[in-house]
Amino acid sequence: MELLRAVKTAPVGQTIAVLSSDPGSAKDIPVWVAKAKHEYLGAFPEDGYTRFVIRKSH
Amino acid sequence: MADTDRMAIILFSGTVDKLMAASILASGGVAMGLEVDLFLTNWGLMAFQRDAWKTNTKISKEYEEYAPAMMTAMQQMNVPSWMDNLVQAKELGDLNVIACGMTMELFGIDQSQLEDIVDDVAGVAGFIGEAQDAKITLFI
Repeated sequence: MELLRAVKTAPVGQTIAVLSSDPGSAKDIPVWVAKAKHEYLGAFPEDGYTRFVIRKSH
Repeated sequence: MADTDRMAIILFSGTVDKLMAASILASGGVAMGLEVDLFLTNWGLMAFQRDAWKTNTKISKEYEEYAPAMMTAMQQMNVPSWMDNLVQAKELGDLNVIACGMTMELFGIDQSQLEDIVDDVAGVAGFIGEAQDAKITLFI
């Protein structure tokens, strides 16, 4: 939901990173990004969490 | 959003574990671009009496030994309450919260005694009319 809010308020073309420690996010975020027709730039594991990066495309 | 896909949830239960599941599924549905109809009946409706959610710590009887641990973990992890999830879902998308008219009559509740998130009162027929096109239907 925080991702949704961030995407809603960001300008088109902006990249947004979500930090999540929820193991479900690895599946949920790409599915949502595809559904919402944004661009998924990848998941980057960090210490204890993962950084998911997307670009708002419309 | 006339041709938006729909999801219908019948919320019968009033325990926090199931309210939490319903709220997460509802907000997930909204996040995925669905129009979500949440129909509150029986104990599900009772849980939406004004301010009741603030003091509701009930969990399903068969798992009640987990209640204290679950409540503590949710507090420690700062998990938003099920009501917060629903309020947020409504802000971000299309969530309709409908109270069951028959339950309200049975328990002598009117809409002013329910949380503001409740949009409308309907019977089963009214709900089915709204939800018959739903691609996903859940009974919780």
